[in-house]
Amino acid sequence: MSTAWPPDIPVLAAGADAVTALNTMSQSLASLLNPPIFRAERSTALTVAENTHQFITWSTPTEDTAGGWGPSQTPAQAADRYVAPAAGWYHVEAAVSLSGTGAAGMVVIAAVAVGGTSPTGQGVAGWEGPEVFVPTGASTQPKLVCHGWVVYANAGDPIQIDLWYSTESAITAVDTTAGIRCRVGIVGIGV
Amino acid sequence: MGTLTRIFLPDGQAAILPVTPRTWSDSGAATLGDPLRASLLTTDASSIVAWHRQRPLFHGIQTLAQSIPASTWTAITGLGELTDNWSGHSDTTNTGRYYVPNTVFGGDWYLCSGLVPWNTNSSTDAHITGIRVNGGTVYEGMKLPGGTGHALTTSVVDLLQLDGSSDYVELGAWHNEAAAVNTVVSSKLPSLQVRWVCANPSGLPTPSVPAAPHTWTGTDVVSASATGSGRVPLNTELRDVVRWLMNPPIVRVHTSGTTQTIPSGAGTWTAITWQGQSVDNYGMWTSGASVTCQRAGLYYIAGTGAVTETSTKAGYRAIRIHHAIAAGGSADYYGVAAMPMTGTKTTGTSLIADAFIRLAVGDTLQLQFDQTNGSTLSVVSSTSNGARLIGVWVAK
Repeated sequence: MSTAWPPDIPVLAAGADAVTALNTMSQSLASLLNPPIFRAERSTALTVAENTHQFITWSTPTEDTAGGWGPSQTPAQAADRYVAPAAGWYHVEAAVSLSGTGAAGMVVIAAVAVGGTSPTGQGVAGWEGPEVFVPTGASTQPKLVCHGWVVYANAGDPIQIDLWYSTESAITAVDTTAGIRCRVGIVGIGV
Repeated sequence: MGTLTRIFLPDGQAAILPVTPRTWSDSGAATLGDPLRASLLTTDASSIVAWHRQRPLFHGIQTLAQSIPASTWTAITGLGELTDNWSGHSDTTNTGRYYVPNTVFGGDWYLCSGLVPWNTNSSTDAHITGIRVNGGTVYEGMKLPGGTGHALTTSVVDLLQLDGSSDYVELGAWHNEAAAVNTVVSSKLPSLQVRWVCANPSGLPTPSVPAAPHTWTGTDVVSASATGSGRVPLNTELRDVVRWLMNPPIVRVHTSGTTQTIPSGAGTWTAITWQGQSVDNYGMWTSGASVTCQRAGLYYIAGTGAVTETSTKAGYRAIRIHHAIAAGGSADYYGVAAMPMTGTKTTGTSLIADAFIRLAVGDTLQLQFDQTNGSTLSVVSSTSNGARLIGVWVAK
């Protein structure tokens, strides 16, 4: 028994060693209080392309309690992913943003992919999020879309955030301004 | 009503869910203390883990396009279950409904969210995604226009109190185009997600954030509340942890009954002032625009900013969560930024911002709105379709 996620249901049987039983209880409760957490932003320049599904590559995470970020894996994986430490459900929140002068009619979509595909198994990866006509003016006008999803991942599945935007503008970069950066937060919520 | 699907513990007994933990008693001069029985520990410790491993969770998606009539809130029907671990949805009857589980607390809190993709190119009309409770009140989410050449997908997120003896939720859609609009089900689909986050907090204790659970040794003495001389109190190590897990800090503040205007100006961020609370079990809000953290931890925060529009519109609309750090500094978490409707309708614009934010005691949060209409816009004042800010503690 350990504090790993998700916690096992403790077996507290009469006649068993009391210390072992109580530590089983403590470890399971500790696991519930400390689910896997991953929070990251894209704080440095990132070139992106219009009319293209692309995963955001994350800068060094703010938090990564289970060591799921790609470069932390053995062997190291790409920095655009969080590798699910255990099978189960995860609450994912993410924002994608663009920097530059927009154009009339431009839309931006934020979406999540699990195992490189649609988290629902019914849609197409990269489309299943808010699709919004964002501001069309200068780079000082935020061009950001965000959403929260609950997704299921098997242990080892990559969870990635997809950015897609339409072709009206000539934007080729994400916004790295504090507060407007692409961001992701992932928290384990159960099995 | 939601069926209370049974969870069985490793020893084969059905878990008693959810858990109202036992208060242990120490022995005294005239009283016997509570015996440390495996069955008593199982009832609380094993059951709480069993509940929180599989909190009620529903995710349904629509795979057949549906025609949404104009100016009428319409439930998205024909949901197929991706998960429904407490059996609150039927595939054959009222297929758009999710009935929450019936718990002993009666009126637990659920985080509800949804997406509706619209097959529309209309930039002159509003399209809204909402959560409808019991076929009546609709809690509105994003309210946005479409545009040329692309579809539109709007979203909703809210924290709602639902009673498992009767309550159900539906994903709702509304628009004010002249004719009906279909949902999109290719590449993207209408989606409803509902998950349990807190028991009905009425009357429940509000403990401190649990410390790291004790590592037991052979020299420890199990006590109820007594400390010192090697005593480790179960009321701290078990009871209070269970209390916390069943009643973590949650908050929902909203506008109601008053009028606030948002001035025009790029980068002129205006905090929305709250008039009431739907839930605030740890006392994060008393008045004004700020909620203040009372228990440290990682929170899921989401805000919906709703404004009316003028007949002549200009510029953009944007929203953000502003985090003022008690130790110094601040951080912002921008939300959806969008263009308003064209044309002369004044239906309004609603935007959503959400983020996982780590809060320390004393940190404050505001929901702020920015617009460049050239004139003021009014904040929509309502507990259901107005501006609101929600927060849920999710981890230490």
